[in-house]
Amino acid sequence: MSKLIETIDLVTNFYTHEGVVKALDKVSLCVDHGCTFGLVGESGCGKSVTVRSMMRIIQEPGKIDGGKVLFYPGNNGSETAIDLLQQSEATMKALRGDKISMIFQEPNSALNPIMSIGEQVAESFLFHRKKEMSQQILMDMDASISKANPLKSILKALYRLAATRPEALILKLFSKTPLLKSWENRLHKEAMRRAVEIIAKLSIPHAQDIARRYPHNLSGGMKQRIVIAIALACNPLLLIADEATSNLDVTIQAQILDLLKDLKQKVISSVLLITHDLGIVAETCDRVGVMYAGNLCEVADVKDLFSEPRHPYTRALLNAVPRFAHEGELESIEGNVPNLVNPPSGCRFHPRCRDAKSICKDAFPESTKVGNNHQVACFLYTEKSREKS
Amino acid sequence: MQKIIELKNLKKHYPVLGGVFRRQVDAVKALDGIDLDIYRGECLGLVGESGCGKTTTGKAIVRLHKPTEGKIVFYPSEEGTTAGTDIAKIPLNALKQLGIRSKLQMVFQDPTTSLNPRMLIKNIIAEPLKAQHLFRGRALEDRVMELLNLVGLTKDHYLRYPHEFSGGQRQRIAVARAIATNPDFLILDEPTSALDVSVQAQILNLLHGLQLKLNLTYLFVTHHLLVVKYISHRLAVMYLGKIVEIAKTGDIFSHPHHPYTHALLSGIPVPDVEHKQQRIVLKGDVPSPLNPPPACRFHTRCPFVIDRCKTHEPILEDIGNGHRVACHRQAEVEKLVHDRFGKRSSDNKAI
Amino acid sequence: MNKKQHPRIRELKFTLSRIFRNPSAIIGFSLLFVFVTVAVLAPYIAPPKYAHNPYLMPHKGYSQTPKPPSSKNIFGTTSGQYDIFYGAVWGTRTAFKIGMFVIGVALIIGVCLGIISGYYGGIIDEIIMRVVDIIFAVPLLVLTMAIVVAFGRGLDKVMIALALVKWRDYVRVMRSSILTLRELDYVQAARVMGVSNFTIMRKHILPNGIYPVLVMASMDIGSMVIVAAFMSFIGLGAPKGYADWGQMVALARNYIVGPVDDPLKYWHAIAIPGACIVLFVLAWNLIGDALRDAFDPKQRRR
Repeated sequence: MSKLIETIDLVTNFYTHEGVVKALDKVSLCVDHGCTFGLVGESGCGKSVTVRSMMRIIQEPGKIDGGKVLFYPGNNGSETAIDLLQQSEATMKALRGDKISMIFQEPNSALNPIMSIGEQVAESFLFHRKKEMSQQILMDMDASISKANPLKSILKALYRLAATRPEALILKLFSKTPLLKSWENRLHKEAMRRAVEIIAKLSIPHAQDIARRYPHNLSGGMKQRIVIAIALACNPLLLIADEATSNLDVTIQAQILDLLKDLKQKVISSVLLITHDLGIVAETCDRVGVMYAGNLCEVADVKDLFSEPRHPYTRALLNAVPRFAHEGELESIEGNVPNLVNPPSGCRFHPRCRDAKSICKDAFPESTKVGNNHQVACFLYTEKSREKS
Repeated sequence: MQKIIELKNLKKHYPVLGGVFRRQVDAVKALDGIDLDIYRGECLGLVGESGCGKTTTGKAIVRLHKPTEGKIVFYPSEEGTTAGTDIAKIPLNALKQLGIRSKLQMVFQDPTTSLNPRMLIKNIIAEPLKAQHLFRGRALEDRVMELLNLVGLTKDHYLRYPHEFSGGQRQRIAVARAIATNPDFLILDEPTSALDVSVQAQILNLLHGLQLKLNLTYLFVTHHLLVVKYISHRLAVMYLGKIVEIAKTGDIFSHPHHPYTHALLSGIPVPDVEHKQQRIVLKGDVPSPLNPPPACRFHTRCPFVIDRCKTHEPILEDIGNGHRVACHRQAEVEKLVHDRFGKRSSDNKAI
Repeated sequence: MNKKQHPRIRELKFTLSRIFRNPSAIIGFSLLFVFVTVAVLAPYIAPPKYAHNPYLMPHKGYSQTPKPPSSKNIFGTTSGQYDIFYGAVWGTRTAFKIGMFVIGVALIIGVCLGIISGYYGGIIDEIIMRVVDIIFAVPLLVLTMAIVVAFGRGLDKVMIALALVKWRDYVRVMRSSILTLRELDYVQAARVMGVSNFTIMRKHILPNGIYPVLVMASMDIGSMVIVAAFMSFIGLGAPKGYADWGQMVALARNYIVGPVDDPLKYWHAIAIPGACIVLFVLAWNLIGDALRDAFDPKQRRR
């Protein structure tokens, strides 16, 4: 499989009043084409910061201090990698929502309460697909008015200009006249048509009707579907879902997960799923990365991770999850998640680790390969530790 | 077994005001007739989705709001006394004077909001003791230290502010505050859902230990069936202000009889790759409690709905071994699920 | 962090460090410090001539024309030959008196009513808020003037009148912050524990909800001085010769512009008391700004 997006030694810090929060410390992960990658970890472990850094939407006082984010937009082969951290803000804007789109945890704050659902979905088309839509409208016009009509042909010329060179001076002069308004209306209509189409695609009944409603008319699950619709509007190469289902009820979450799985087969090529729920990972992902306190501890195929977890943190985490068949007391991980202003030296998990050795305190474990596509950052599996012991 | 709390036809309707004169035009039926017995020393899990009334039930018992209708009978612990007190309607002052206030306590969901950010830990824990005039001076300080030790915190934490603690530690402080007055009955309102997986287990184990040590009775309100499994003896499943099924925890997991319970159980993502069970995905959303569906409230989403469900409301009937279900088709549900959706998740014991 | 310190001191230090991170706070507090020093040391800086009433400005002669600064009157004299230096020094005390009294009284009334209204809600809330609405219907100055006219003129009357009007702002702000606090878990938890309503208000609601009001009040101290100066200017406030900046501006009102050939001839008569007012208001506004940043709940650490 070919790479789609990859981070290399990504470092992100937050410069707060209490000190520098080292939120990400050399995170390297890679999402392949057609793969569902799950990023799991507890709150504050940096999983959200990772994807926000990838999309360059880190908020003040956060700053990306190092590393690379390589994006391979070409469908096959890694010949054309672009480093997203080097791109201009304009390029990123064009990329977000088009090639890569994101859905967040809280559908309420993701939707604008004073715009109808249809308009909000259509906005995405108007922003990213203006050119394509203009071409289509012109083609439709060509088909419908074949007879020579001087007025119509002038109009058409104007429209063509609007479609190809929207910054032309003559258009600015005419921008408030009904001539160009009708062009805008056509664009809007086309965007709305596409919006309804995509809403219907997400197995939402009465798409026409829903498009005319406002967010407060819809339930939480429905809103999250609309957010997904907006994200999928432009057929992104990568969909990033940041805790997309964790605010929903179990039965609604089941619906959304089913929808995502279904879409995965039909529409989306790759998904980067961020969650704290190992159950969701097991059911939906192909590959998993486990994060702890700003480090990526373990990356593996989903089957390997659940059958043969290597990192002590992964093991402990899997033991702490309540299960159907499990009896007796639940195992817990002693201690608390460290404060990232002064993270523990060496391996950040060592104060809570049962297998901690002296080396864990002093040195940071490099990621090592322990099997087929399985990488662990732990001294239990490196040469160095074996030498010492 | 001795009852400690008995809910009889408990209802809570929140009025919806409308018009110029702010008259009541409608009511949100958060609780619509709950009958529940809670026995001394047990942990009863109350499970349901958001808006089903589980938290409202808990808050009604500690009288954070006044129920619209029905009774909440509290049986004090003294041997031989069988007479309970109905606390649903009595004034709050009387509740304190009768000494019931200190016997019923609550732990809230989010420890970041349930602790006053401008109070020191020692004052937070001492607050109920001061309010009930139970200890003072030196004895008060000793008691606070004792409570801190009980929940696994140390002397270092005594003089600190809540923001200096992590989520799990804050929840420990909240637990310490709740058990300060030696209560008999604790309402745990989603005590672990704001916490991380690794810390969740710590709190669950702490609560379990405290129950044994202090002989507490719990009402564990949660939306997560698997969490409550480790601690509760019985489980009650709620849907839209009604209890639809109540049974021993093991029975709920091995032989659920209500289709909704089946859906809840199958909806939980299982952290295991081998096991790909068919999931029962319910159609649609939870109806609004403003005007819940008539008759059986679940009929709009139930995969096995029959005509009778739309006209007759099923009552919570006992099917043996203390297992009570409110469903017209309870006898056949298990077979129906098996036929339509295949093997159930909890049958798969190979995990 | 030093563990041996008492946590309250640590918390105070933290808050202070947040406040003084802001340059405007440093300017504001230094200005305030100067004013406080002048007010405290007034009897030494400008020894009073009339022991029975030090606020009365000494004057030599009755000439209407202000005199420029000289060795005798370092800031010159204003109309009526009142010494501007003496007025500016003792006017500082007057300004503090006005600001502190008006805002203090208004705060006490406003915060108490706001808490009661917000916490209990229902019919009590309805009554208090409707009364506030009625008071709000009349502009501040108009209402104050009406009250002063009814009581009779004088600086003390102006202060009482302003306090009686100003509390309306604080009720609204306090109530709105209580409304959100009231539903918070820790207030509910306190209720479950059987804590009395009064204690809940005192321990849980007041310490967490008072900051917006405090910020507003610190800014209002300055503006109250302006309003009082205005009342003095229109002749309803301090009597002639009283050491009050507004009154001094009023005295100089005919000499704002000098004769045609030298329009700035009497600048000192208007500029010095004017500058005092401006700096005083500026100091409080800067402090209020800094407090707002420091108390911003979004920036508060977890």
